[in-house]
Amino acid sequence: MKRCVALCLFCVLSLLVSFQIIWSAETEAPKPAPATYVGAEVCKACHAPAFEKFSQTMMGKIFLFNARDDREKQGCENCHGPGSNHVAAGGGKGVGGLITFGKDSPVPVKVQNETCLQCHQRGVQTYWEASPHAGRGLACVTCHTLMEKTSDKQLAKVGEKTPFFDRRAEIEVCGQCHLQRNAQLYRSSHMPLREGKLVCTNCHNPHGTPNPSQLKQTSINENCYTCHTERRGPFLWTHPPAFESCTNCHEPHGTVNDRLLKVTDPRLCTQCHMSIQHPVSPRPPTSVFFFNRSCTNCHSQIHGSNHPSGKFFQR
Amino acid sequence: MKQTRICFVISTSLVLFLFLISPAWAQIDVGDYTISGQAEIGGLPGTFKGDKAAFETYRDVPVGNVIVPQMQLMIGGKKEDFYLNFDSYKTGLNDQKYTLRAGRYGLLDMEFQWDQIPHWFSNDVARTPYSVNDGNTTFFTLSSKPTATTATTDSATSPIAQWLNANDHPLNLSLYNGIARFNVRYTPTPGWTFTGGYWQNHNVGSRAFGTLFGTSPGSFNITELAEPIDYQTYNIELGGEYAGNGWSVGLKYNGSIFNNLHSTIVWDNPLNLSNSNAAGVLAGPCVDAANYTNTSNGRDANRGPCQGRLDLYPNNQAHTITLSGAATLPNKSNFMGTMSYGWMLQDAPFLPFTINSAITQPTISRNSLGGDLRPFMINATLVNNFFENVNLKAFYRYYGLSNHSSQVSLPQGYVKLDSLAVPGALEPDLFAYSKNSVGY
Repeated sequence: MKRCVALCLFCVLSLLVSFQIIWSAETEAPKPAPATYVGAEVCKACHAPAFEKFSQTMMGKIFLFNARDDREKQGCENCHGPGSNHVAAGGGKGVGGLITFGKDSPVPVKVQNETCLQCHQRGVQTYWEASPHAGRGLACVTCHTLMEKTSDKQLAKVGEKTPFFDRRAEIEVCGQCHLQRNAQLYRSSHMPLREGKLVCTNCHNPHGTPNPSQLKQTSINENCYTCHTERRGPFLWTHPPAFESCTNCHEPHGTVNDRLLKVTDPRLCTQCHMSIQHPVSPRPPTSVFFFNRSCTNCHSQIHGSNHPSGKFFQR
Repeated sequence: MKQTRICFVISTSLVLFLFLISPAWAQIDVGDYTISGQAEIGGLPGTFKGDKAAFETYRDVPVGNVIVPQMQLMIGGKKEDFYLNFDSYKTGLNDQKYTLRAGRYGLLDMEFQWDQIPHWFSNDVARTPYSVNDGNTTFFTLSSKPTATTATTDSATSPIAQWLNANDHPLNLSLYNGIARFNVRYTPTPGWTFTGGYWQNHNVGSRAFGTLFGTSPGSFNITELAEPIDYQTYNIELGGEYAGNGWSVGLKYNGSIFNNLHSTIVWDNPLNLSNSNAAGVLAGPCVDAANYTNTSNGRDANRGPCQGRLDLYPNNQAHTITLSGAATLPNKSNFMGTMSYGWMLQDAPFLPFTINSAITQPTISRNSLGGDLRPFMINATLVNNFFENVNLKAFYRYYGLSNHSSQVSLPQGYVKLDSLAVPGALEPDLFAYSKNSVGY
């Protein structure tokens, strides 16, 4: 038994020593000389078309013509890193230790993103590191195109169908992954996203927030109140489900029921109001309990009433 | 034959020009400035009538061969120091949009935007016998009334149905939303960022909604009205942020004021016939009654009120202050935190319990709610990426919606549907809640 234990220990130790030797050999490999900055004009000599496109972007205009500090003056190398080794090696994709971007890049996503976050870890990107998109290994360039002017937010082009002025570019970018949400926008009851009047970032911040569902406001209701200010109240008579969350009754991405309701009336109301008042007996289909707006035919102030006699949201 | 061929070629070319061209782009230099732009036009077949189509809910599809121009104009200095961009979309239509953006690269960015969003519910489908007099209180008045109260009869030959068919008129139900926005962003140094924004939203139109007389269950009649909507919302946002090497901190204020220009509606009860003659013509002042049944003959003691009165959404305002920050910590760790505190206020005067003069007004402890909700949120998040491809995250979040509204008492009860006094002391609940979330 002791021999077995000793043999096992020997094997483990041997493995560890082997790894250490290999590791040392790797780490002790001769390193190339540290790269230095060569300037944007050197980059332009070989990458003229890319340089020309980049110079039309907001970032290009700042880096190349209106730099505010030493970092921005580095131009192309501000993001790609110092290029002397790349130049000395005669160029080539990924040669010389340059930081490259995109899904084909050998540079890890973390490194790519850290390059962007040097300047952009603030404002709406403050919570990027905690966002679900970062957690799932998305790169900034998954959604943004940097090397040519696309839309105001430099969103990635999705195929050749991106409409004039990229009005719907944002929905198309988000819709690449969020297929169900994208499909919901085409339901009969919807908000004007597919018409180009709203975009996903009117409610969500894809760079991360401390709020549920990456909402921009601190609660679902406060998000909805940004536009639907009339429902903000507070009211004398409060309907508790509406007070807690609009999504108790509404599906904001689109439904097949009127008014973005999750379930058609009166089924929606009877999910809670099961055993009191109206539903106690069967009703004919022509009943006011069913046709038109169903329950809200009478309870029209269902989001809340400020009328002293509005206890049942009818005044 | 030759003429026909020429005509065909010209018309085909025109169609191709209108429908198949892609946006045209041009650029010219004028002195020290470069002017560039692109434009696109399109058309629709003349027989198409868009305003009846369901897909026009939020759109304006023009009738006939109307050209829909879209244009983008960019002006920049040859020194590449400033820019001025102008975008227009669907000029002249109800869903038009204009954006003007100007600034100095890396220093100042200003944007002004005008956007219109139509929202069509129905065209000429809704019908009403009411005429509407707008104001802070909107009156829905009738020029005549049914000749008999057979409210429980719903056949097409009933007096009520005949009266409706003789007096109703079609109306459009739609909303029109006009939004003006102004945003400015000033970055005097790469570290400092100041932002400001103002946007105003005017939502006007009407949509269908129901009101009723009588008391449920069993004795009521629903009246369908076109709810008048004239909302004005004013929003302001001010913020400042400083980002150092590996850390940032920002402070932001948001304010929002909502005004409803139609805060009350009053509508005639079509089934109180005390002021109409046998032919249904209004002949004298209406007389309220303290009860209502749907089997009333319209003149008896159960005829109900002459009018109903309903309170629409009251004016309100909200203010929020948000402090947020982030810091890079050792061992590939990041900390992020936010604290937000707000006020949602509403103090519009209460309406009387009822417009029905035959019912004694109950008492109420206050003249307005003094509504005061205060959302508070605090969050702390720690992320560690020490191990490659392993994203460790821990967070704590508190959200509380506390209710500081005044407690209102209704010691003598309330009036149900302008028809019936309901005794019994009441105190509306002051709802509040909080949520604590911890996760990793």
